[in-house]
Amino acid sequence: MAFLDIRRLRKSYGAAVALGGVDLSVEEGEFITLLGPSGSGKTTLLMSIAGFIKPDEGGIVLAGTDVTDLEPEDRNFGLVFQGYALFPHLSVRDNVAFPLKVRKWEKRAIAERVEAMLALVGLDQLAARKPRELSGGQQQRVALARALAYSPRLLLLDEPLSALDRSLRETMQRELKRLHRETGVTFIFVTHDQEEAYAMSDRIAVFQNGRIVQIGAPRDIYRNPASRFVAGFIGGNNLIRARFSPETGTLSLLGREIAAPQHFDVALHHRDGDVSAWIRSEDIAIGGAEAGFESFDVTVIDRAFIGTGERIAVRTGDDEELALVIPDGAADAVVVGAPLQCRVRPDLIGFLLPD
Amino acid sequence: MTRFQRWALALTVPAAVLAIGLYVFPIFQVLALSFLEPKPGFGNYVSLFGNAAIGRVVRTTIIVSVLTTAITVVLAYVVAFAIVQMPRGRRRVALFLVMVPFWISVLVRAFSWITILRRNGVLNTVLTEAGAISEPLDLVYNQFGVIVGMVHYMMPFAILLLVANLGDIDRRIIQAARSLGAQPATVFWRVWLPLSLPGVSIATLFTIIFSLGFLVTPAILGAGRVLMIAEYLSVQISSTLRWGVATALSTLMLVAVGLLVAGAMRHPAMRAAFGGGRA
Repeated sequence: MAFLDIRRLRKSYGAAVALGGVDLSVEEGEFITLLGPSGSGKTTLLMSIAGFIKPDEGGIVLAGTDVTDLEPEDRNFGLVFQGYALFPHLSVRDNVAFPLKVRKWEKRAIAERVEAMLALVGLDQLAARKPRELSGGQQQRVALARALAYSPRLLLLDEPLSALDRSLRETMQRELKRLHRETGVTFIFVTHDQEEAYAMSDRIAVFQNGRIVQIGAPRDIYRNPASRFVAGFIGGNNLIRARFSPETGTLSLLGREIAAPQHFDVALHHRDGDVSAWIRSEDIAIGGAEAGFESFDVTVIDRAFIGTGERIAVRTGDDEELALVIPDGAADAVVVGAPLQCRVRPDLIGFLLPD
Repeated sequence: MTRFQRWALALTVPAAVLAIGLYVFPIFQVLALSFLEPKPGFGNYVSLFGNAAIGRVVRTTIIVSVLTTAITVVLAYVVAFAIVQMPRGRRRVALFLVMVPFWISVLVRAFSWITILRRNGVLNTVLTEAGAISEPLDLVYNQFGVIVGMVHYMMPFAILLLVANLGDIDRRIIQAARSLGAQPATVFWRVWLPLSLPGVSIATLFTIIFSLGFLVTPAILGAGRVLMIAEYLSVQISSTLRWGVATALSTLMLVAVGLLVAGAMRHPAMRAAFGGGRA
């Protein structure tokens, strides 16, 4: 049995289903991310694990003990909020000492642990400050130190980085990974940002309408999205419609008729001939046919400089819009409004099960 | 000054004229009378300090006001705390019920309390018939009755002030405390209470200032036996016509309240209350 076992968790608010029977197993020491758009149930699941939301059905078992009916204060989990939720009337030191005082630790032990935690997050110089005298990133570190001070069995993080600006967010991502490594605590992290999820997680659980629709390592989810929704939500993918002709064994897509590639499963991947496919932006190149590639004609509708390269938007012959990302400098010949030839390797086209 | 600002300024003129004509000017008149009536000098003020009757009135006023304030704020805190925990629909009903007394004249409320509290009133009858007491209790026409009436009058104000403050407290901070292992009592004493200090201090200040000037409620429920400053002033002005003493006492009270407010504003919690709830 896994360290944390969540079984068939259900929660409804009137007619609105927040959690529609969620199963999730988390191993000890894992960094798992709950990823999904707002309202998909990821925060509801996190707050159910924390104990603030009582599920209608199902249970939560931690290390063999059923914690479903325990009050939040009795669960011994750490929780970090989006707005950090520091105690505004207490200094940094007293914020971190709070969970230790309520656990009736000895004064000396509290002082030592607070100092160690503040050193761990690099705030030992600011112990006497009040939260409002700190920057967002510093407040975030206090919240982490406070939630980790009592060595909780789980650390739950509810979109903790979404209020920070981009550069600070990357620093805090590294910081979180380091804290995860150094403390060995199991992290459950909620976000709607797929890049954040990719950068930090051992595994990602993708949420849609109160259910987990796919769970796996970041690379697996990126390479093999399980559904149209996942393929669209995790980013970098072009979703396209294609048609399969059983008589000839060919696919018509991108305005071309091509032989169905090896990994296209005739039985699985089409419904009455309709096929959902996806191509990653970086797998489309500019240029004519080459061995192992299929080429197709498009019209350029936009060019955008994105720093590391350019993102080109094009329209295909069968009226699909595609985005492709190419290295800077390779797009010199691209003119908005002009025709262009692109190519793709058929074995890199992904096929989705019908929804 | 922009066109808009000129217009805005012009719109405040009627209110300013009314306030100066009907409020500031009479206050200066009171101040002037206290030095001029019956003969010019500090005589009125000097006589205030040697006067045992006035000393008693001031002492009664302070005792009744402090007790009223303490009881009101504690009870109002309990009610406000319950109200902010309620789901939205029930909260609206509760706030509506809190405001009901506003529609009933203070006179009617005072006489209702007499009906309830007098020797053969509702409460004493019920208690006697239930066998809880053998002799009726003296619940009105004394300090107890006055305080009951005043607490009842002040409760809605204090509740509304505290609901506004408690409702503003970020619930995630409360959740954070619980997630960190704090049991309900600890959450209350270590988090709710410190975070609500601005609200508590403003409710306290508001209630005590109001209480110091109560007239109708102590007059009716005290029946002349619990003489507070406002009633004493009213007697001096309308019956004994000692305007000099009355205006001097009014002036002193105004100064005392001013000092109270100024002193309170020095406290960080109070400044936070006026600065938007930051502790």
